[in-house]
Amino acid sequence: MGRVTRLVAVVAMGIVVLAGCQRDEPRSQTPAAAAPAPQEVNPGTLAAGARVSAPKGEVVLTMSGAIGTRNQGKKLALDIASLERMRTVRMETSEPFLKRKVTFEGVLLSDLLTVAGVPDSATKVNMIALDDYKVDFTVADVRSSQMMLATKADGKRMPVDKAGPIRIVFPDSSGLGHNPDLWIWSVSTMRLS
Amino acid sequence: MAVLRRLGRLRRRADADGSKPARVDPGRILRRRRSPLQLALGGTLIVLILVVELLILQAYVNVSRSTEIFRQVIFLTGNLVNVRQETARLNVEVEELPTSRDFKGVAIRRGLLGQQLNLLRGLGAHDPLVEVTLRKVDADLRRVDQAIARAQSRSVEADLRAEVTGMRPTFRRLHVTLKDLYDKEEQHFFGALSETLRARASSQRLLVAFSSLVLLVGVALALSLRQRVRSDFARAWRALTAEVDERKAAEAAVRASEERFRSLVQNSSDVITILDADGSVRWHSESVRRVLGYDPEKLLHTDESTLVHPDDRDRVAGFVAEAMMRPGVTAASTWRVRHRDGGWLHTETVAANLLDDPNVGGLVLNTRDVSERKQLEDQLVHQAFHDGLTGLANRTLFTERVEQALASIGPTDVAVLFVDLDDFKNVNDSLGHASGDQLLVAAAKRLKSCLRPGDTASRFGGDEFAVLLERVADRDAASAVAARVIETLHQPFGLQGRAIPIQASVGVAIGRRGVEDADALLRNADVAMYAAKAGGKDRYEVFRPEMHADMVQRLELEAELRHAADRGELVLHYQPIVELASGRITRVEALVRWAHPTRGLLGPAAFVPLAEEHGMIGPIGRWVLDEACRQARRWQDRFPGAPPLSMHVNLSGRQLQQPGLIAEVAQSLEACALEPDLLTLEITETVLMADTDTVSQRLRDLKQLGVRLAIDDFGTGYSSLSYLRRFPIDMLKIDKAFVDGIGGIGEGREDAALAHAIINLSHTLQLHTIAEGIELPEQAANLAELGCHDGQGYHFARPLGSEAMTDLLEQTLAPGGFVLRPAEAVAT
Repeated sequence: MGRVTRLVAVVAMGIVVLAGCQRDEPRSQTPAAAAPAPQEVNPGTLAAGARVSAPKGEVVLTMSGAIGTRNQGKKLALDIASLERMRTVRMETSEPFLKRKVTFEGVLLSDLLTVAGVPDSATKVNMIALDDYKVDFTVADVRSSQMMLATKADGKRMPVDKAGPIRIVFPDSSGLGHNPDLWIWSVSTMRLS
Repeated sequence: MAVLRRLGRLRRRADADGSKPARVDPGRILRRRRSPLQLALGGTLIVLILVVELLILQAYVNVSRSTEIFRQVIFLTGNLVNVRQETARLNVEVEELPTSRDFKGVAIRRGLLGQQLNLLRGLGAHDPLVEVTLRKVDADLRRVDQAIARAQSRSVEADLRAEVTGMRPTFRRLHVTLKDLYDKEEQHFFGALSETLRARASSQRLLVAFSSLVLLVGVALALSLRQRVRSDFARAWRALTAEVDERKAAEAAVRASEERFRSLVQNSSDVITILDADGSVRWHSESVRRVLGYDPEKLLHTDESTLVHPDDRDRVAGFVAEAMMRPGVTAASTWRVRHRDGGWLHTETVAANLLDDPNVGGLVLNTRDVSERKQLEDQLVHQAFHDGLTGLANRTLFTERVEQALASIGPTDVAVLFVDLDDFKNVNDSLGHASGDQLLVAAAKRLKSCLRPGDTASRFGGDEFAVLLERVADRDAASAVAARVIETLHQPFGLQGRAIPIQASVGVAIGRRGVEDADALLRNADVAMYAAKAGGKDRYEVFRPEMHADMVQRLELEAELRHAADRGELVLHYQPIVELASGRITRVEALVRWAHPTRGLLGPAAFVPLAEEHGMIGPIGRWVLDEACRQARRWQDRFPGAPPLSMHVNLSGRQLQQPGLIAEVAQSLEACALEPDLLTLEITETVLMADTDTVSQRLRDLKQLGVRLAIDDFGTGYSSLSYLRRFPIDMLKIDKAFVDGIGGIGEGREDAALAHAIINLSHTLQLHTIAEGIELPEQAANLAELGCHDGQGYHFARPLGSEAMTDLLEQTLAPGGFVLRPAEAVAT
């Protein structure tokens, strides 16, 4: 009833609001710039159901498991050239380790899975890097997230010590991309199941 | 809040009353200024809460910074682990080169190590230690790269091995360098961690301290507020209850006052009546039942005046009409009201005009029964003008009537009769006042019976009556009434079983209307009455102017009598009493005389009644007693040889009543050294008739002294003979009336028989007998024959002066006594 009590209550509320704003500050700093959609660089020649010839260059990616397209026994072995015969796209995104914008070129994983003839029944993709670093994705996540298998960074091939020759990148719009652990360097194997 | 508002109203009302003392308003108690303690506590609390908030904020910032640092450190150390791991793997693969020749695998491993080192370069960008280490690592790795390139070019296994062996120190150095960096970073991390934790702990302690303070101050404020609220509420409650109590008390007082007032009105002996403006009864108090006997309900809306006495109705109507017109209280008015039992009550009514008073709106009549007062007033008026004993008019009223009669016009004269009962004092003395009063009442009744209507009888006091005759044709008519009055009174009154006649002396005065005045007429009647008395009583006299002179004489005589004893004008004469058988003088009766300087020698009849009337009998009687005793003593001294003479002295009833009598007698005897039995006191028969305790006691006391007692004039009174036995009487003196009947003067045979009977009776009662008034020798002889002891009278000797008596005694002195022979009687 007393003015003192009222004053105390108002001040306390003010402090709570202030504290709330303080907590809100980091959230407001989240980059909100609209991520540009991946731009097609080359429509590619390898389409769904096409036969993929055996690799002539160094094999950078080996796919196995539930795949419909094979060129090396039960596996599908791909060199850079084979990859780049598929539809390639370019996109600029925030590289979490370099902490700067990098323009990557490469194949969208959804396109890759289509070329590889991955059936609808497949649910999981197990990816392994050269250093045996392993990450599991769901096929649904892979198809929907516009995640890309990059072959070039800022127009250049990527050596192994620069996380190449191919690596997994995400557009800024992807939720998965917020986790740096999913940006797989030097990916070399994909096993579908 | 509603309570407060009501309280406020109450308070305003109380203020409006103005009579109640100003007091605490409960509402104000709750609104009063806040206490400084609470203000301080509240301020402190705000400051403390702000500090705590800041501390929390700071702690949060610290934590987020620490977290960032820790994250970087964790990245760094994690990366370092990876770097060391990749280095170790590269080392292993390099060692296997001589057998595996997997230069491609080594290159990939070297790439992967490069990846980690690139990461390390990014993570430790600002860490000088990392930069220094990286420079060393990069230098060593260049050597390794060069060695691997050389080895690739060696086709000889031995050379290849040599290259590999050559790389071993470089790898060892790399291991040491990286381990060193890792250890340092780890150490740095834990140091930073413990420091951060320490800082956090101290800031936490501060936070806890301030939070505790906040709690403390908050609790203190809460307690203070609670205390405040409680005390305020208690005070407000007290004020509220006090207010309520006061209000209750006031209501109770009002109620009590109303009750009291109602009770007063209901129980009042007064009847309260409220009349409407049209005069009809709106309300009667309950007391009307008690006072007038009516049911108050039944009197409502009736016409009040039907209860009022017809003679008073006009007055009541006027009273009500006047009260209706005039505001305020009207003076009391009295009238008569009919009681339910049919009687009339005298009531006194006060009207209060409350027509304008909204509470009443009527005329309030306050009526009280004043019948008793009225009665008392009437009685007082009656008493003021009437004699209480007889109910006759008193002197005041009588005088007024006489004045009225004289002032009025009429064909006849006006007469006033003054009636004085003769010897009434004797009746009073002998029979007592109660009997005297009875007699007066009876006399008054008879007096009235003699009058015509319109005449007025009155009692002036004592035994004096007056009569006003308003229509008397002449002096004879007035005289006739006077005669009738005397005659009527003569008829004996029955008193104490005895028939007592009353004699009256009447004075008549005639007044001419418009000529005489009342005082003169009354005075004339009085004078005439005295004249009748002086003329022998039992008669009437009509006023004559010369009566005034007689009256004046009487008054002079009275004045002179007062000084007679002092001036030595009183003398004693002595009459001898003779023993009839022997002729010897044995006794002497002392008789008082007044030697008046101008009128000569006066007998007792001329002045004793006067003396008795005016209270002078005491001193005279005493002188007589003393002088008689002295004379007896003188004669004893003079004639020592002769037998001593008995001295007879008369004692009046009045004297016998006097308290000092016994002492006086004893004193007189003692002064003269006289034997008591030589003194005989004579009292009249009427004295005995009174038969009062005083008289009989006096007589017994006298007898106790040794004095002899005789009854004088025996036979004239009305005493029965039985009286004689009740008193210590020694002798009887037979009245002259009986003696006259004996021997010759008249034919009184009856008297003679009575004398005879008296003498016989005396013998029976052993009383000494003395015959009075013997004038003839035959009488003396007859009485002697009848057995009468002594005789007294002119036959023997007239009363003689002391010297003459002495001479007589001298002459008659013989051996054995004073022998009187009739021849020697002194003729004087």
